[in-house]
Amino acid sequence: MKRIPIISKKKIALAITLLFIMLFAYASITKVRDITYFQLQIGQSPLGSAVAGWVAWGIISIEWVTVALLIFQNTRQVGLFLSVMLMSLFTAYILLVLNFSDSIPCSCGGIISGMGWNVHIIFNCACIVFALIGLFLIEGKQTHRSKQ
Amino acid sequence: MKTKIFKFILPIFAMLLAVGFAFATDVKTVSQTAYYNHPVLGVQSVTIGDECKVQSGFNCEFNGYPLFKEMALVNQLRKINP
Repeated sequence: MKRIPIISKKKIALAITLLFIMLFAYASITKVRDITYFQLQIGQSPLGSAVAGWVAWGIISIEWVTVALLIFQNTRQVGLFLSVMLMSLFTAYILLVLNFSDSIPCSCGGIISGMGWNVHIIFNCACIVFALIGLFLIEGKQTHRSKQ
Repeated sequence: MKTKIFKFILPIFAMLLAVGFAFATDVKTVSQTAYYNHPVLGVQSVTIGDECKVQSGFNCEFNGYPLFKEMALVNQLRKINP
């Protein structure tokens, strides 16, 4: 007897994609809304204030590129891969700054800034796991399609 | 048609929802001017967020220099969370 899955892999991958579209779109808009403060926070980080403007706009641009890649089905895999990279970088930055810097700026926006550091790290790790699951599901689907 | 909705319209809708939500939530950033002593340039001012106050906790710094509430560099600014 063939088991019919209630939620297909395709739908799980889509749900993960939507989650990341919402996350990056929300995060980038909240940063743009208060760009001066965001640049200021980056200036206080070990990166220094000289590159703060460039880094701030760079992060926002990468987040929007990721959103664009996630919207289109053909580029969704690349978008999820970029999401994993971005979330890993953010997590690594938090861990590095927590351990090796005296001043710890949080450049997170909106409701995300209300999180404590531990919750933030757990949230980021959960996002990385979700992105990897999505990547695995999309990759599996494409491999299956190419075999056919 | 249904496939098209799932493939393209739903992600667009999710993006617009997030953008709307980002505008709906208030940006409650209260900024203040803080001062630090630069070894070459002297006392410099910088705009910071509201997390730094005259209290006990972790030092607030800008480029490694401790921040103070006033130009006289008497009351050092600190924050509760590192």
